[in-house]
Formats: sequence, structure tokens, C-alpha cells
Amino acid sequence: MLRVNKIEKSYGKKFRLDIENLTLEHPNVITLLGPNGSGKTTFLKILLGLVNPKTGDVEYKGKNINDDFTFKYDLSYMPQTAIYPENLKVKEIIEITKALKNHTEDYDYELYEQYRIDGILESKFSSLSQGTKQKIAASIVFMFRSPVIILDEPTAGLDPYAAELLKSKILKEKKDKLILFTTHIISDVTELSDRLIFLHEGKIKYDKIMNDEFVNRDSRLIISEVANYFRG
Amino acid sequence: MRKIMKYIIRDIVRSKFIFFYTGTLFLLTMGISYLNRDDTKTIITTLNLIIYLIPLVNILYVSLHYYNSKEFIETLLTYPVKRKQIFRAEYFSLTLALTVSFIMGVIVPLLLFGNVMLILNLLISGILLTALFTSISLLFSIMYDERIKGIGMLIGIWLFMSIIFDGIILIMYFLMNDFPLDKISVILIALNPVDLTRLYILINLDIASLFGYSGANFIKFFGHAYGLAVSLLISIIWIVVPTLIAARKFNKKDF
Repeated sequence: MLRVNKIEKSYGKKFRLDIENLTLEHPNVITLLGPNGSGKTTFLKILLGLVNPKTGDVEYKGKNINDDFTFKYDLSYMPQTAIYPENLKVKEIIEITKALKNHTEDYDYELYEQYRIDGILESKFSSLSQGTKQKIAASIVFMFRSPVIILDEPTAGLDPYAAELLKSKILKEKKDKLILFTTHIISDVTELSDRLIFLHEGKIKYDKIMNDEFVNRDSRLIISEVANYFRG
Repeated sequence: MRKIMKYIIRDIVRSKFIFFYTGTLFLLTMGISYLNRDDTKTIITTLNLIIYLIPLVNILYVSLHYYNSKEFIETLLTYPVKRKQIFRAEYFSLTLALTVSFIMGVIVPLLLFGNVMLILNLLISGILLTALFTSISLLFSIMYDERIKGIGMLIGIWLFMSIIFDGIILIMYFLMNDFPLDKISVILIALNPVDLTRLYILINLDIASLFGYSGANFIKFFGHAYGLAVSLLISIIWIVVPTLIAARKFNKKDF
């Protein structure tokens, strides 16, 4: 379980992220939605320990994520654009991630096999298309069976079939994992999410459980309101 | 740290740039050695190559490498690796790769022609300059997220240390020649590591005519042996201080 204790972060006078106390519980698929500049990336980076909040902190299993490595062992992250050293081969990229994770057995190769990564192990990373790079990142993110998975716009850049495989994987893995992802695709929210957090101008506007009642009754209303925010 | 270094070095070694840089240095040094049959003249001409070209190539290569690796560094930071280990891996990999390029491109061709003792001093100076400009480049790249700003600042620093600094000192001496500037000139030379490197080589070659006013005062103040030790010590301080500041900024940086 990730616990966010009232975090604040500002960049000059233009932007201020202000999140009240928030709990992100296992097992769950949580979607972080919001228009450009709403604070999704900053919030995600605070959760990943890449950005230090001005006040407040994030706890995992009762410990501050910046003081304790437990969270990093339990975390897998897929960036919006997969960037690894250009001159490394795919097999070396997988080797380095395994070495750093210190995870020696029981890898989950399902997505790796579905994406046929075996066939491109000897290819240089720079020679691959952006979609293939994303497939490598998606395969790596599920390989370590991490209890916490954070995905930044995971289906962006993937072809429809690869995106479907990834969505199936998310649905399969959600039974025992906390999966948090950002997206701009509304259908991804309704297909995958158990909970929707909508950010606007650095604040949480909606935090809704996506149960049947919500999906049947309220979701259309909220989705149309969300669409209005996107329209500005 | 070694795990990360291994892959960063593999990435650098496979890039075409590092071979192009080594090859260019090699050809230039071979040309200099061939045209100057005298050891001392060869070292002085190569010294100019070292104090102008190495800092410029270092700042461009290190800063571009850092900016291009930024997203990879972000990904590394989500793994159970301490920030200081990632910083050290970046710093030592870049310094090592550029030092090996310098040795293969400058020292090896000189060894084919010249005096080993004189070349040893050039080797020390080249390594010190490489380590120093790697630190400064990493520091400014970490400080400025916009690559145009970071690289622009670094080119400004290179221009200042390699060219403008000497001009300012000359103007200062010209305008204030009625005042006793001996001690001030010793302090001023310590402020510029490029001048210190030049002085370090010239002390070893014992060519007083090329010391310049500041260099001559430096030698007068410390003596030959002390001058050599002090110039080395200040150069090392010039490497350690920016590296420590860069490491500190990297540890606290928002990515």
C-alpha cells in the first residue's frame, strides 16, 4: 500500500501540485487522468522518488520511499518513452535491468514471449522503432513480478494488437498487484480501472471507485465532465 | 556502481564519436611530432592542442552524453540503486573513456618519437584536464535542465578559461602597472586550471620565456619544486570541488 501524506510541489508561480492525504491500495488498477499540465507527471515522479515534494511524503509499508529501498525492490516503472543507451543490444538492456533489480529467479516472460522479444535480442536499441522500444519496456516492467507497477501512458505508441496484449496482461495481473497508470484514452479507463483519480490544475477533482454501479450510472456523467476539462 | 559502469562504457565504446575523436587526436599528434623534430617543441605544440581541444571536446561530449542519457538515468533511479552510485558510474565511465582516448590519441604517437619523462608530464596534465572538465560539464548539465543553456554556459566557461582570462589579466597588468601585483597574479593563476596546466608543463620544460608574467611570479613565489607541487595540488582541488558539488546537486535533483 502506498500512502501519500499531503504533498505539495510548485514550479515557480505557474504550477502548484497540492494532493491531500491519499491511499493507493493493493490489489487495484488505478488510473490517473487529467489534461496536459494537470500535474500527472509530477505526481507520478513524486511517487517514483524522482521529484522531492516541498512538503509531505510518500510511504510504502509504513516507510518513507526516499529513506528505504524496499519500495524500489517492489516497484517496476514503464516510462512514456522507453529510452535506454542507444548502442546497447536488447539482451544487454534486459541483462542490466535484471542485474540492478537483483532478482534472480521466477521471471514472468509472458509478455516477453507474446511480443517475441527473443527475435530481437541481438538488435541495437537505436535500430528499433518506437513501438518495439515500448514493447521491450512493457516486457521488462512485468518481468520481475513486482507488487507495485507504475505505467506512464503505456498504450501510447503501441500498435492495436500489442496494446490489447498489454491491457490483457494488466487485467490478469491486477488480482495481486497495485497497478497505477496514466492515460489520455478514456476507453482504457473504463476497460481496466478499478479506481479513477482525475487531476486538474494540480488538485484531485475526482477520486471514484469504478464499481458496476459507477460504470452503469455515474461514469458517463463523469467522463463527459472530464471531456469538458480536456476541451478547456 | 560497476554494473552500471560496465554498460555505460560499452555504450560509449560502440559510439562512432569516441573513435573519431581518438583518430583525430592521433593524426594531429603524429603531424606535430613529424613536423617538430625537437622534443621540447613537440611538447609545447602538443600542449596547445591539449589545453584548447581537450577541454572543448570534453564539455561537448560529456554534456551531450548526460542530456541524451537523462531519461535512462530517470529509469535507473526507479531501481534499487543509490543516486550517488549512478553519479559515480557516469563520472568515472566518462572520465575513463575520454582518458583512454587521450592516451591513445596523444600519448601513444608521442611515445613513438619522444622523451618519456617529458611525455609523462603531458600525460598527467591531460588526465587532470580530462577529469576536471568532466566534473565541470557534469555540474552544469545537472544544474541546467535545458541543454541549450547548459552547453552555452559550458562553452562560455571554456572561452573564459582558455582565451578571455589571459586577456583580462593582460589588461589588468597594463592598467595597474604602478601597483605591486606579484601576489595577486599568483592568486589569479590559481583561479584558472587551464593556466595551471600550462604552467605545470612549462615548469617541467624549464622554459622561463613562456611562463608569462603570472607564471614567472608563481615560480618566484613558490620556487620550481614547490611551484610544481602547488600547481598539481590546486589542479586536484579544481577537480574535487566541482565533482563534490555536482554529486550533491545530483542527489537532491528533481528529475
